[in-house]
Amino acid sequence: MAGSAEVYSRRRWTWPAFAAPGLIWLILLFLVPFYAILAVAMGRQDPIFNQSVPIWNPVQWDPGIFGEVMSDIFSGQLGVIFVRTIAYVVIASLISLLIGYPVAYFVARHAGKRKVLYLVLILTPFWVPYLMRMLAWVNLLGTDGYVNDALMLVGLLDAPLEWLSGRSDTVVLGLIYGYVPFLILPLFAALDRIDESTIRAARDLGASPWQAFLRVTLPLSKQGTLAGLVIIMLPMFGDYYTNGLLSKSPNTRMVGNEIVLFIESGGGGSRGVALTVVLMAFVAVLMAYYLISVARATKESKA
Amino acid sequence: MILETFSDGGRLGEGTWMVFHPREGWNGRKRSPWDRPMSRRRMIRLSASAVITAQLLAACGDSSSGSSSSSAVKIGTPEDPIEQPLFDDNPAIESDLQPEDGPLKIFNWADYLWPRVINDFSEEFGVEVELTTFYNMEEATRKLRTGDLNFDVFFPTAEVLPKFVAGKLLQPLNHDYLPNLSGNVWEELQDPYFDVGSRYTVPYTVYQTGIGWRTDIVDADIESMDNPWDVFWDPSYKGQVGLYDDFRETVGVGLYRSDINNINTGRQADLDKARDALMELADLVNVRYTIDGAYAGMPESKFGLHHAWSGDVVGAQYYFPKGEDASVLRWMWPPKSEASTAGGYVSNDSLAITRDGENPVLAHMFINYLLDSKVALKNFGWLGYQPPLESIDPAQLVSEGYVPENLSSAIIAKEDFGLGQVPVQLPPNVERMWLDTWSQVQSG
Repeated sequence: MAGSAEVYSRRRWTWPAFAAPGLIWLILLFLVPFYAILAVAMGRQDPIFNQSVPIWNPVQWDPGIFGEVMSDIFSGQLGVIFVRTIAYVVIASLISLLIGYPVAYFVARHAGKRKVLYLVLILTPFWVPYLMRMLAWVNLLGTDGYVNDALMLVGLLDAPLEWLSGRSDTVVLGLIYGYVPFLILPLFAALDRIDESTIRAARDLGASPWQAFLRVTLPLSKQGTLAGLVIIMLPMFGDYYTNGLLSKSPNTRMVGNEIVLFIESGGGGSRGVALTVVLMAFVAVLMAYYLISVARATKESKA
Repeated sequence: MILETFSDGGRLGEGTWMVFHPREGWNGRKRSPWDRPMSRRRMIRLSASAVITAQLLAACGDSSSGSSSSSAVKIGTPEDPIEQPLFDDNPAIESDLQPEDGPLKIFNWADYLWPRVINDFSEEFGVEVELTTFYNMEEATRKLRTGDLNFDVFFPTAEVLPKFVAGKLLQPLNHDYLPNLSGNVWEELQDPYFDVGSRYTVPYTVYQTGIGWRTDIVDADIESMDNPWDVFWDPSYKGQVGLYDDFRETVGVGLYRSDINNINTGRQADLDKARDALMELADLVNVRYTIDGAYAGMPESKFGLHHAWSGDVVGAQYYFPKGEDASVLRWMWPPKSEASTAGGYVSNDSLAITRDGENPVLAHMFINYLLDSKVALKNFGWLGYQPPLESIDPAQLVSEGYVPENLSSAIIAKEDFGLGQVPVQLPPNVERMWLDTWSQVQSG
């Protein structure tokens, strides 16, 4: 019958149509700009202005720039910067996790009626722009700032430390402070979702509180932990302003600073863009691990 | 109407602006680094894109670029000054035209013109003025190249002029509208090496790059050193040392340290020496590379010694915390020191009119206005970068309080142009070498 065929075809298109906004967003705001990035990286230099100009036809693309960037990473000055960036991001992420997990756990499990209040309190400082907060740190960490005063008061320091004279720990501290709430939120969501009866069941079956945490809560919050880590690690890899505000020393330079240097100088534009693509590829590996582990977890929960 | 202005402009009564600095007028609030006042010098150097040379055009043989022929790009040097080419399809405007109705569109570096001066022009000539700012010559070039923004007045530098002319982004000036050019501007700068005859540009400000320090932190007698730049390598100032985050300027310091005074060098051996010298600084003195260290960092005691543009130290007096004395600040320019044989930049920034502008007559009038002694002096009181005008006597700048006594060395004399080095645009392959050197230095 014609009628039922119509209904069938309508049904067939209704649900996929819901994907349209996401798809359009993906195409307009990710694929098109990404294509433009590739077109600039493998484009040409304008002969008068010496600026990088995109070539839109992929057939004419010259991937040589990636070879140059890769060889700079593996045998040139970029290697140090890459290793340093990875080290900063990994250390900052792990410390963020050490800080963020207990906070999220407490809010999700023990805050009771004040859950919302705590969440708002965690987020309130982040209504202040990032730059403003980093500037506050510049003042706090100054040689005569409150951090030194406090540390000397409790006897941890004998003389003021020059926090802002280009120290790695200062930059890592800035990264942690800047990104930790973005880790807490997904972690909170994951911990909040855990059905308390599963934990009670574990306890009934003889697990100690610690065992229940290790065997029930921790595995069940793995997705949220990974999501939070991915959310903070991705922007940390491209971060350049934390280093710019808190250090400015060559000893703490990150990949983001290098990208800015090349993009802001005419002749180096395509090099800066190529470096961005390499960084994206690297970060995509992290992302892939996250997606695979999510897919696996979904399959397991269905099974 | 002014689109971007500071609300305090009108608060300052006539006659008080000389002593009452507008930045102080902001309730003594210090500016934040991202405001980046006076930062445009850094931006210029960062974006000091090399102009293309004939070799590159020949090498890439790209006819599809639609650009003008290689013969159009003329890079002058002090040894070989050059007239910028004129094009039949890009003529200067006729004389004796009536000014347009506006609005006049100005495209300038951020914080590089006192908004009050724009206000005054707007009132005096009864036209609206719109100010748009940029931080980076790269960005400015891209915007101008789109051709649809119709800015009238632009602020190019000597280093980008050749490509802007060759790419026909600027229009030639009609000097009939600019009586202050021949009447007031230093004669030497009416015929600059990069634009003989001032066909496309007139000078706006002059600057030098030297060494700034605080006498309460640095006690070395920098002025009598054979090579004053060596002071940056003195380990006794560890943690106090800053250089500009700027590849042309700072690789230049590495060259001076190595007794190479050619700041446009294309020799890899020179650049390697500069790199090695600069790389020592990271651990020797904990060097930091900043934009704001000279004008804001030194007053706030974050630095005792910093690579400094003349205009930055003049502006630094307004950044001292309340109650602290700005007289500890000193500045010197190595080429002027009797004892020294070392180099240092001296150059000027320019005013020009874009080809797409819809108000060329008004734009000429605005440029002439900025070359007026009274206006220029008023602007200098806010800006800190000196206008090269005959009617402004260097001694007057100190006696009238524009420049404090302890920084009188930062006042530039005409003769200085024969002593220092000028940055010339580098060919692309050389610029690449410089960028690489800088990238290595910065990797630590």
